[in-house]
Amino acid sequence: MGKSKNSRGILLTSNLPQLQNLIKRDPKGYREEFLTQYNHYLSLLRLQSSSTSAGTNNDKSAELFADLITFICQVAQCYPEETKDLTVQLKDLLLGGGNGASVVGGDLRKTIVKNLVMLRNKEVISSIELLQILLPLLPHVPASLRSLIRHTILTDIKTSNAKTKNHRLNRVVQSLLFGMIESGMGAEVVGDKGKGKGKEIGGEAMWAVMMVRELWKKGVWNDAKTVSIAALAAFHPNTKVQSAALHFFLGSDNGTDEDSDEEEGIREARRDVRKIEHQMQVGKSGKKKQRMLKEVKKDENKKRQDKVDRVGAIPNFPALELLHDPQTFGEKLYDNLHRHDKQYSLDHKMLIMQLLSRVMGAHKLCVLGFYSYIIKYLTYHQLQVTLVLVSLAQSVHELTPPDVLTPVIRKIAQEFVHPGVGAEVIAAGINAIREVCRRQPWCMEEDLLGDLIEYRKSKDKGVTTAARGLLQLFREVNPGMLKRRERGKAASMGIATLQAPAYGHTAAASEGIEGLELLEEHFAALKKEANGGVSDDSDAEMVVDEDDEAGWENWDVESDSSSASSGWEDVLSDGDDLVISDSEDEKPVKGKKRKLGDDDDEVEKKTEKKRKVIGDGEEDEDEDMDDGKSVVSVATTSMTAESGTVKKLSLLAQQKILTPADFALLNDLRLKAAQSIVESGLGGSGAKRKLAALEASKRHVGEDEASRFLTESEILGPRKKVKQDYEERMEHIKKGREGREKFGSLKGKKNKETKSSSTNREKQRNKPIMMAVHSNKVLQKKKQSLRDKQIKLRAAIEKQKKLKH
Amino acid sequence: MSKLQASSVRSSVKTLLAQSGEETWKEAGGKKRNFVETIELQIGLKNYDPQRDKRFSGTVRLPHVPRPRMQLCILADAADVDRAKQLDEELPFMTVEDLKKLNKNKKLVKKLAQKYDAFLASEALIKQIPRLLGPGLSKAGKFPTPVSHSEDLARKVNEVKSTIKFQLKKVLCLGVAIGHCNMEEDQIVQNAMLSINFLISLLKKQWQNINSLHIKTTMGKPQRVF
Repeated sequence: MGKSKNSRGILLTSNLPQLQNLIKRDPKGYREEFLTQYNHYLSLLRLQSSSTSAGTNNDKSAELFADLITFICQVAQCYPEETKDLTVQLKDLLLGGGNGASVVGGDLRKTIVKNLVMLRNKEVISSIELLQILLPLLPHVPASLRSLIRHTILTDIKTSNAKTKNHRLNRVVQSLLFGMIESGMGAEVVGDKGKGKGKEIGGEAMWAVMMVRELWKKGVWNDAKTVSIAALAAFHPNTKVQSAALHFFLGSDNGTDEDSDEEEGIREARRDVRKIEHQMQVGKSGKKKQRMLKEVKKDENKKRQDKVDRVGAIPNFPALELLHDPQTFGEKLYDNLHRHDKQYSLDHKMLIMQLLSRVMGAHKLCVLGFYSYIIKYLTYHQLQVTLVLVSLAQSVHELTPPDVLTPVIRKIAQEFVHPGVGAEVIAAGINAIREVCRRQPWCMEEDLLGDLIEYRKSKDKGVTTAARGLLQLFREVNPGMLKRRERGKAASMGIATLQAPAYGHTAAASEGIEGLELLEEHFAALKKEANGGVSDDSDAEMVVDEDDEAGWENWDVESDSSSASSGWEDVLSDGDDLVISDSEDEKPVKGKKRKLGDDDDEVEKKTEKKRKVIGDGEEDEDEDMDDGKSVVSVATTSMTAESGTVKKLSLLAQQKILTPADFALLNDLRLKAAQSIVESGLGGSGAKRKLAALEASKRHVGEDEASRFLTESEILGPRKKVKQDYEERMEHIKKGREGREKFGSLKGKKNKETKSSSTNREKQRNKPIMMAVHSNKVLQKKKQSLRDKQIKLRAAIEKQKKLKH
Repeated sequence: MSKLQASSVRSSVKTLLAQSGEETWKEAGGKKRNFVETIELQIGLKNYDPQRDKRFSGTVRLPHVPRPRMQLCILADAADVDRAKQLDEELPFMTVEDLKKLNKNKKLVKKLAQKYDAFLASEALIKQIPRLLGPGLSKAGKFPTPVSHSEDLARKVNEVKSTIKFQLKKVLCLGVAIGHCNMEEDQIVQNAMLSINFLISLLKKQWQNINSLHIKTTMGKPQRVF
């Protein structure tokens, strides 16, 4: 007994891990020993804080101190009372007296960080406490430690937001980040051009923006507060911080990352299923295999379902949409751009311009100064001029006053569209003008338009396409501006009254749903058919069954069917699946169409039961209005006076809730109507385009509309491929050679993977010269007569000639 | 909820009216308020990814004016000032001089925007609006509707009053006013059905995008219809 006590005493001073082990087993019993070590730690801590100022620091004591810290942290959970100041002490060690520069350096710092993370993992400290220490530390540490800290912070935030959003934590961290950025805001702007370059401040702001960007990209944070942090950083005096924030909004590297992760997961699960299915075909298919197959299939379905759910569950608004006050943001951006025009490099200005134009386009802002500012960049020899053109076009929307745009358009025309410049320049100019006019048609002048359209006779394909595009645009939006013979079929024959709404007019409030009259006519026709074609009253008696049970059959297919593993894609794409039903008295609309002709009495019965005859057109409706003592029937009556069609149009939508089947039918009818217009050839190319759009929307339901913003390629237009010059060709060839073996047989080559015997040819080539000279073959050649030599020479010449041709 | 039928819309409208009606509120479990309550439609969307799908917005004219007490103001030139004065119910107006007095002052413009529910503007004036007032009006979503001299002003006013707008903002739910408690049941039902149908037609996957539909009066209990 005494012996063990003795040996324990030896252990105590030197072997900390041993003591740690013992303490963890019996915290109470070893309290005294712990306190001894703790006091040692405290005295070293005091020494440390005083010694750093003196600058004396030897390795031995630092190492001992690090060991002690590790030890204390390891057992901290056993003595919460005694070690309650531990976190504060460590924080002070790391961060110093609040001035940012830490008291300790090197390995000791790393040890402390690691121990803090461990304390967090043991839940001795909360993640808020941990992040409050780590975030300020980020800008002051070397790269190796920084990556560790960053990783820790990111995973910590991610895990605490995994199930539900941890709002408390997020708020604390966000305000920390906000503070990091705000602290540098007062400083003077240092441009990234000219003298001031290099003298940059605000490292912590940079890290804050990086953190925000990463968390946004991962979808951990997706609220307005995150966006406001980035919005603040967009005006930080440091251009690097600015550009990081600008990239955040432009989303240069956003998206796809996580998507591809998920896709990969699904694909892998699919592969597993295939593998087991194959194994069952080829080998034995026992109970176990079947069970395995079932499990894998379940897994796959779950992954798919997860993906579908995620799309629905977390609406992910793009950052631009979540800006708090877009107008002020836009004005400040412009101010920043305008005021520091000389200090910023072109690339940075382009970034700001891009973002400004997107904000303006998305929120329909008017920052009128931008248009006069951008004019000076509109010269064809300006670097990155396509980007300037893109930002110009993006910033325009229907509420941009046309009179500020007219000078810009004129400038583009003067600079880009004249015979003195290359064809690409002209094409870019016309394309840019077209994109601006698409958004605000009223900024164009008639004579300028006439001139621009003449370019469609140019020899260059890009220019022709651009000019034709412009012509086509004005045929649609404002044919009145074109010469009579250029107006196109639809406009000049007066079939379509095409006119863009004047400035300030929004497209008139629709009276109802597009194509609803088709549906109505369809129902009327059905009714007629049901009556055996005898219904001869002039105004189609409209019949509506208010409670159309049948239309709701199976409408929810898409969400239900995902449990069936293989077939669900088909269902999704096929709109017709909505109407599968064969029950007797509840008939889907399509079924009705077929059957109504022969089942007269059934229809009759249905009529009595459900239908409500609305009346013979307008009179009945008017009566309805009158005795309704409507408060404001003025609107309605005036509408009736305006046109009967308007009235008829909205009737169906007022009487009946349209079912999913109705909408499916409506889409079909619209498609058919568009087809018939195209076939009759009346609508011109506009009608064709409409048909194509309808068909496209039918084909893929889930098609995305990512192309909200312009790209450079749209401004550049299609370009003819020019012939490569010598350098380009050589480069191309070299690129092709990269990473491949040299061509040719490897037979007998030294660099073959496995050595084999040499060929005869090789042996011949490598034969020692003295042996070759004395060989029979050579000697006989020397000895042969002149005549023989001549014959052979001639034959050789002949052969050479033949080879050449 | 898997189906929505006209009859159920009608019945929930009935309950709404009963709960805020003069005689009926007691047994219906509602409360009579000292003002005319507005009836609104609230919509929750689902399966909708605002990042990918087009953010929809649409305006539709309802058959009956949902908010008759809406405050309108016309930014008028001389001729329109006269017309505005001559209306039965005089329309508040502001001339160019009045607007110039605001001097693009953000607070004053905001005040103006808050004072009225909607604006009209003479056609000749509309182009100057962004220059005169700055962005204040469009920020509030109240950019004026142009009215030409040939149009009947009274009708235009009514048209503006009966137009409702569906626009998705930063959240996946929207609400619109579709009537008030003094309207006939039929009128409310008609307005409700038209707005529901119109909304559904705006959505890409139609009914599959709808999470919930509620009808409620300003201070009353919401009635779930879908």
